[in-house]
Amino acid sequence: MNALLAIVWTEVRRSKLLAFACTWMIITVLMAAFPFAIAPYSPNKIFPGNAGTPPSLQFPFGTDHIGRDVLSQIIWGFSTSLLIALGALLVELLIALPVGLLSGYFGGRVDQLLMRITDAILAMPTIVLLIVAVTLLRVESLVSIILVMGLINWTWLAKTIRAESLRVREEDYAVAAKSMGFGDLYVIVRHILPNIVSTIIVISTFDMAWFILYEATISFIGLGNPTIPSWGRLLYIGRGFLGTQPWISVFPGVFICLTVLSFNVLGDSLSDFLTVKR
Amino acid sequence: MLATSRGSREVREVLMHRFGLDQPLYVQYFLWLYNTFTGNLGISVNGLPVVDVIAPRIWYTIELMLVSQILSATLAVALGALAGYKHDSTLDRALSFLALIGYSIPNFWLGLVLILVFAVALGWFPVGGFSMGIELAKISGLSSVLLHLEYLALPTAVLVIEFTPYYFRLLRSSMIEVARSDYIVTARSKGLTERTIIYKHALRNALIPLVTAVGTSLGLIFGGSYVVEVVFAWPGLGSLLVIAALSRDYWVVMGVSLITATMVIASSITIDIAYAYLNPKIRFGGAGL
Repeated sequence: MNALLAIVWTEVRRSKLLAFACTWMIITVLMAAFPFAIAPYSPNKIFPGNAGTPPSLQFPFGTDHIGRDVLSQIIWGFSTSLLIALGALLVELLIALPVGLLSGYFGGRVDQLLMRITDAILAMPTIVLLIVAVTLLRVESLVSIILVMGLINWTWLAKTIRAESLRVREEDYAVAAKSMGFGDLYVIVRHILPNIVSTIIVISTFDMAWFILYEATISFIGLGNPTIPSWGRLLYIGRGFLGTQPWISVFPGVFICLTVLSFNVLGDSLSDFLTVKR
Repeated sequence: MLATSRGSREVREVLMHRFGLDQPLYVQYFLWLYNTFTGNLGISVNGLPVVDVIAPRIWYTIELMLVSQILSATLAVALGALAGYKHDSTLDRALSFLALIGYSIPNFWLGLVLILVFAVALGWFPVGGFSMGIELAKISGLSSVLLHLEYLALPTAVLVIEFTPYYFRLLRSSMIEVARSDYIVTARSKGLTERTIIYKHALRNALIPLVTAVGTSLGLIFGGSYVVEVVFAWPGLGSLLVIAALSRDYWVVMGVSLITATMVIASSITIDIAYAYLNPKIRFGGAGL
């Protein structure tokens, strides 16, 4: 553990960008974990007579069109975003891991079938599929948006895992393990999986950024749940008051940019460090 | 929606029958599939055939996408070749940093900011809403082109800022690999100018991974332009999809999805052909792929 921390510390000291990304991640994750302690107000509390006030000491990022504090909504909104992104990542891993590993390891008919399904999903832009799914299924709750995002976005990860397992399967140690009579499951879990973990970590980091963006896009378009505070919801509200109350949409946008940037910087650094070829 | 709570049962039944909603789901699906092959995509909730709703919008989507992708690719090739060739120079670091930022800005938010600055505050460009309230048929020639450009400027800028970094990063990393190869060393020892080496020898080989990448990220390209269309009320398929989704106009949603998938597959085939042109190994090899 200490050795790991020492490595992280050296890397962070070498790159200012990575240092910034890590700092920003720590701040925002704390924000997301304890919104009730950090946010000045409740996200849906309306301050009568304060609708659309510009940034001030009382409301650092101003209030929205009906008088809710923008900063509090940003802080609570990230809780939602992070929860959705982590949940969707979990769903994605639960599908992509078995599909990718089975396809890559067994090849043949299993591979053909699984990869044709993957290709069919890949032929549609993710965001279009998301819009269609959210419309047709009338997705409202957090759980269903998590499921929909995970169910739609797993294809790329599955393809990468497949390609990696194909490579590892042919390595001497994997062939040796097979020839010694170990079962397929044993070889997959003991030899294939540990060798592709770094790829999975890197792609997951980038996918976190994508999930945050997708959630924001869906809410921004107006297909999100209007009762749950989220970054996309703020942008959706702010879009209608762009000329008169720009702070409603500008501040959450800056937060989205910095968070997505941090995830991308982290992904880049991890990929350099773990020498993952993308 | 057409028959709200006030609508009588008869109206409801007539509407259910008209949209085929009284049939079981699988019958609805196969009926849709059958009709699709005859060029009938169903009826939109506003009474028009879906084909007539979609058809006039396809061109706008293609126009926005072509203009922005050609601009981004050109810009990325010029800058990426330079940055990759002069790997680790100040120029490379600066461009890579800019690319990382451009890469991380959500396109719809960037659209809002550009509207705020260039349309609302400065008034240089229209806020959006091309062709709404403009009778395009009446204007022609140069003024029509100028009008297109005026409305294209901001959405194109957003897409260029979104996609240039993406292509730039790909081209830069493949250029770094190419710059190390033997034939570049040979070219330099022959005394060729740096410019000839970069743009004649290295670039052509570095372009191949870029073309592959464009092929695999078509979903990203279409998705990106669709969202930007919504922000600028650009009269293409993306804004239609969202309007239809918000008004639960299922047949239009299905129609737009079908056309999108068709366009993605058609572009993917075109790119495969371009790939063969760039890489003679595929053209003559026969094997491979």
